[in-house]
Parts: sequence; C-alpha cells; structure tokens
Amino acid sequence: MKILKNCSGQVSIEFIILIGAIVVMVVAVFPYITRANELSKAHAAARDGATFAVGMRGMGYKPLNDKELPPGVVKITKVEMVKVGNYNGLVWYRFNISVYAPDYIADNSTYGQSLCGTIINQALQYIYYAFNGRWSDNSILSRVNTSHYSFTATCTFE
Amino acid sequence: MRAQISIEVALMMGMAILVIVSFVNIHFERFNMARELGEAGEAKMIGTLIAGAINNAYANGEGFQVYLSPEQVNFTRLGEVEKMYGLGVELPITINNTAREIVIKRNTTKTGGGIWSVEVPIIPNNVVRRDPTAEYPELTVRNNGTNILIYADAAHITTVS
Repeated sequence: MKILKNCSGQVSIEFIILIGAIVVMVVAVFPYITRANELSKAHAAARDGATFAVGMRGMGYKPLNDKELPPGVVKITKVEMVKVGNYNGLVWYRFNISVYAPDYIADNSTYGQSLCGTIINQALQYIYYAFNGRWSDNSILSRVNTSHYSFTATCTFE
Repeated sequence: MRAQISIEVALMMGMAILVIVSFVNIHFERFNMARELGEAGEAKMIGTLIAGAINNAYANGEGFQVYLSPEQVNFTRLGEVEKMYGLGVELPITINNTAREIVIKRNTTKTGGGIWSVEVPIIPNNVVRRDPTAEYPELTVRNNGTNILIYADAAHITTVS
C-alpha cells in the first residue's frame, strides 16, 4: 500500500516525450502562425475599408474636396493580395482591388481616379487601424508598414 | 490531479487568445463600418425627405405646405455625438440656392473615414429659412407665392445663395 501511494502524481515517459514534441512543434510554427495571422488580418481589413469606401461613394457621398460621382452601382468584386518584393527590410504586399462601376464612371478618368483614390485610401486606413488600434493622423495614406510587412494597394475597374 | 490542465491545453488556449485578440481591431472596424454606412444612408434619406418637401411645396404653388414631424426628421438624433464614435451629421444642414442642392456633411474622422458630403438636388432656387413659430413649427416647408419658406432652427438648417 505504501508503494502505491508514492506512485501518485507521476506521468509516464511517453507522455513527457509527447508533450515535449508538441511544445517543440508549437514553438517552431509560432513565427509562421504570427505572420500568417498578420497577412490575413491585413487582407480582412483591406476588404473592409474598400467596402466602406464603395458603400459611401455608391450612396453619393464624397470626401471633402473630391469629385462627386454620378449615380450608379459600384461594387468590389475582388481583393487580391500579391507579393511584390521587399521594402525597407519588410516584405511588400500589394492589394489589387477590382471594382465594378458603370462605364460612365470607369471610363471617365476624373471619376475613376476619384473613386479609386477613395477606395485605396480607405483600405489602407483600415489596415492601419487593424495593426495600430487607432486611426492614422494622415488623411491620405499610400503605404502601411507593420512589424513584418509593408502594404500598398491599387485599384482597377473590371 | 484535480483542477489541473495539461500543458497542451494551456499552449493551445494561449495561441487561441493570441489570434482572437489580434482580430479585436477588425471586429471594431466592422462594427464601425456597418454603423457608419447605416447612419450615412439615414442622413441621405433625411436630405431626400427635405428635398421632397421643398420640391412639393414649389410644385404645388402658393399656400401649399408640408410638415415633417420630429419623428421624421430628428435633428437631435442626427447630430448626436455622445453615443457615437463618429460625429454624426454636421449641423446645420446647408441648402444651397445657387447650386440648387441640399448639402449634408458627415464627420467620420473618429472612425477613420474623414469628412464626407452628399448633395441632394432640389428644383427651386429661392428657399428661405425662417425661425419656427407656433403656427409653423419645425420643420414646415411652405410656399408663400414668392419664396419657399422652411421653418427651422438656425442651428439645424441654413440657406446660402
């Protein structure tokens, strides 16, 4: 009976090895998970920002000192994330935002640039917020840098 | 062994918390986005409502008047700031007689959107604001044969030529 009591609170060597292996695996993949998480967060934020911009412009709203768009359906059809290269030691990704708009908007350079500018800026603003927890002091953003990545955006009409 | 958890569970929970916390900002962004778009739609709808009243008063001639109740056009709610991260509609709403449009501005600087404006076209170019009276409460739009009079507080609506 005494021997059995002393055996309590112990684990087998297999269990310890298994735990050790899991710890090693988790530690090994942790940096990849962190980076993948960063990319998916940026992608989600870019999509949200672009959607907000399109929603506002589609309703007829315009940023101050910008061109008013003629009424029409404007939609985001695709937000692709493309690896471009490196930028100041960061991995540079670009969001290619595809937009559907009527021809009288898409083919008109004034309206097209105005709409695309709003979409790009809003996508980057949302990325900035996602990583910093606050909105940027700059009303116009052309690039957002995070700990591992640098993000830019472009806009094309379908 | 009671009240103990394995190291794997602790690790997995730690990672799950890490991932969830990293998406908190995204959650707030989406919350803000949905609300801002809804509020923006509501603000434009108010512009359309006022424009409709002005156009009706203009088209129906002298003596015709339209009354928009506070339930329809709630200026306190439109410009409400305390319950919102944004700043709501910038009051007063401007009626531009020269451009023949109602200009509504929304300040979304606190939710990353900057200041947005939308113009709702109107037909007449002779809209004049008057202070509300007992006979013509806010928001009454009346055609007096010369002008389209809109009875509203100066803090709520202004007209420019």
